[in-house]
Formats: sequence, C-alpha cells, structure tokens
Amino acid sequence: MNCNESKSMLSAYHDQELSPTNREQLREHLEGCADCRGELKIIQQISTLAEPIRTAPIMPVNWSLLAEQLAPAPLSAKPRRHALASNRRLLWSIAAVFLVAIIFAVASNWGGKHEHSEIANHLQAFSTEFTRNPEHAQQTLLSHYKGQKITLTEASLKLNYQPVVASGLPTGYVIKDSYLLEMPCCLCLQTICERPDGSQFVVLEHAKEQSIWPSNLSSVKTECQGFPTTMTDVDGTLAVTCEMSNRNLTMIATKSLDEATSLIGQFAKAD
Amino acid sequence: METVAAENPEAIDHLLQRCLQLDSAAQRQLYEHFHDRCYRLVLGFVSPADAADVLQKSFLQLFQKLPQYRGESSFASWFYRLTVNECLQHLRKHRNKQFATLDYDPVDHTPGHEKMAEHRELLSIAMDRLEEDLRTIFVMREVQQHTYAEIADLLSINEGTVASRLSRARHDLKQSLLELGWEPRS
Repeated sequence: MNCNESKSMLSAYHDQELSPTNREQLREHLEGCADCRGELKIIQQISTLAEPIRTAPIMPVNWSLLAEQLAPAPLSAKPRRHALASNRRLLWSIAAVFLVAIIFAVASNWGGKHEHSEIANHLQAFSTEFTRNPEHAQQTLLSHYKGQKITLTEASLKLNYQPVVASGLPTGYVIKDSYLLEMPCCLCLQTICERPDGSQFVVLEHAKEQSIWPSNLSSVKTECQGFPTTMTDVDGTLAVTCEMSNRNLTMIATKSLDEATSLIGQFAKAD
Repeated sequence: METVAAENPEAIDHLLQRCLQLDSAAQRQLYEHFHDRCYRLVLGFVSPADAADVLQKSFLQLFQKLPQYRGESSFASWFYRLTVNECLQHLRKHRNKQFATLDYDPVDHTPGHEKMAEHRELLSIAMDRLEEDLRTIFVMREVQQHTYAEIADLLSINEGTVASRLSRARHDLKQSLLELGWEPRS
C-alpha cells in the first residue's frame, strides 16, 4: 500500500469502517510511515475537538411550548371581504355546490334527515344572485357561513380530522385555497383545486351524517371506487357527491367521470 | 402511555397514524422520541443559544408537513433531512454573523483549558466554512456517532459516498483549522 492509498483510507480507519483486509493492510503501512501516522493523529485530534458538541448537555424536553404553537389560531370574527378573484367559472362552480347539495338531498336516501330551510334559502338566493354578480354572491356566501380562509393544517386541527385533500391530488393538480364554512349543520371545508390547464373545481368535505338540502334536480346514483356516489350534470360539468367511510365529499365542476373516479380513488387513501 | 420501540417501523407508523389524527398524546410521544437525537444534530450546526429555537421550528415543520410524508424513506430519514434543512436555513440567514474574527494571538501561553475553548471556537469557525453536505455528514458521524450505514440510510446515499465525503470534510476542516492558527499536537 502506498501513501496515497493509505491517506484515502485514514478517515474510514479512524471510524472503524474498513474491511478487515484493508484495515490490516493499512495498519501495516502505518507501522512504517510516520507521515501517514501524523495524518491519522490529526483526524483523531479533530474528533477530540468535536467532543464538547458530542457531549453537550441536552436541553430538557419542553412539550408544552411546542403544543402551544401547534394549537390552532382562533378564527377572526370579521368575515373576509374580497376573498376570491373575479373568476366567473369558479364562482359558478361554487354556486353549483349548493345546487348539488339540494340535488343530493332529493336523489339520495338522505331524505328523512332534518332539513335546513335557512341553508336552502341562502342557496337559492346565492344561485339567483350569482349570475348577476358572482363576487357579491361569494361574499354573501362567506358572510352567511362566517367563511374563513384557512390552511389545511389549521383545518385539520379545527375539524379534528385530516381533510382528504391533504392526502394529495392527482399528478399536476394543486390546491389553491381552502375555506371553512360554519354551516348550521356542520363545519364544512371548501377547497378550491386547480388542474394543470388552470381550470378549477371545488371539493366540499364534511363529517358523515350531515344533513341534506332539498332539491328538485335529477341526478344519477352509482358507485365509485366502492363508495355510494351521486352525479349531477351542471352546465356541462359534473357535480359529484360521495359517501366515504368517515366523511362526505361534494366535488363541483369536475370535468368527467374519469376525473371524478381518479379524485375519489386518491381521496379514498385518506378515508 | 404506550412506548415506541427504538426504530420499530411498525410502531413508528402506528404513532404517525395517530399523529395524523391529531392525537396530542401521540404527537407528544413522537416529539419525546426524537427530541434528544435531533437536539444533538442541531447542535452540530448552530450554537446552543440558537439550538432550542431551531429544534422547535424543526418539530413544527414535522407536524405541519406530516401529511406529506409518503413512506418512500424511513421516517427518521425524512425527519433528519427536514431538521438539517432547518439548520441550514438558519445558518444562511445568519451567515454574516456566524464568522467570528480572531482577535487573539494564536500563539499564546494561556492555561490548557482556555486553549481548549479556543480550539473549540476554531472548530466552530472551520465547520461554518464547510460545504453544507460535508458538514452534515461530519455532524452525523462525529456528533451523533452514526455508522456509515446509518448515515447512508438517513441521507439516501451509498456508504462509499459517506466515506469519501467524510474524508473530504476532515481534510477541509484540517486546512481551515491550520489557516486559523490551530497547532495540532505532534
């Protein structure tokens, strides 16, 4: 073994990470080479310099300080204004959420659960105003339900469950914004998602056993990825409601059955 | 409180599932399980005065990003990388303050323990000069005493790369220390 080979192995030799063969060869070389022994000694001394860090006292665990920071911030009492960009398609999609909620109430067998006439009135007013003034319609919607923009982490803490959208979206899809809507029946998480082409759709999520809204629109009941699913055509897009094991999903402005199936398959991983 | 066997993947996975369900007892257990080793990892990058704050931020990142953990690497590996990134961000942010200028005569005659303190300061300065990946490996070996195999797993590199980077780290540290006036014992 020459000195170049020796010096390339000194670091691993110091760490006792050489194979037995290399270790023995290096040991023999070191016996006869003061220069390499000197290099090894420097590695050892550098290691000694690091000892104070290695043996520094560990600061005590302080869980309470971290727990405070993990606790959710209280929602602001003041409703947000001008929360959304003026995107007619998006706002139409949001308006369709409530239409589909009405549809679902009639088409599915959620009938029998108590109705919320106030919600129905708001939905009707929203859908009426939306065609004239979508921005104001959305502002009204958020003000009715104290809608607050929220991160998924904050939503998780508030809802006490992990939103399905947090498990991820199909490749190329991204989450734009999320809002927490305080409806009389429940807290409802509304997530606006964006496709690779920039178009958007909405996912509404709420815990199972939520109330339904009255509807007189027709829909198709089926099963998707093993979950009871209802689909309604809304102006050429699909509004899809899906009863998962632990929550109900309503997806608005989905493009196609394939997309709905892909989304439900993705969300099912988190159910 | 149920205990988590050291690096038992199934136990860790179960704990993570409970954390995702916002089980605060599970969150605390995960925190306590990783606290000491991560604190020591952080100490390899930042001063003790900053270590508590950086560690806190690392754990906040852990819980906030936990839904993104896909299990492609071990959880320890994922969290280590997250912690190292937090340390490196801290260093970059405070880069201008990190380099202390030497205002003492390297060739001095102070008592042994004061010289040791000076040498430790020299090492700190020399480590600040290391490339980030070399510093990471040096800290994981010298401070946390991980084997090459453990470092390879945590950083998702092969053991040969660990060995070569560690050798380079020690070489570069030696050069920096000598420039700073360090006199190794003969």
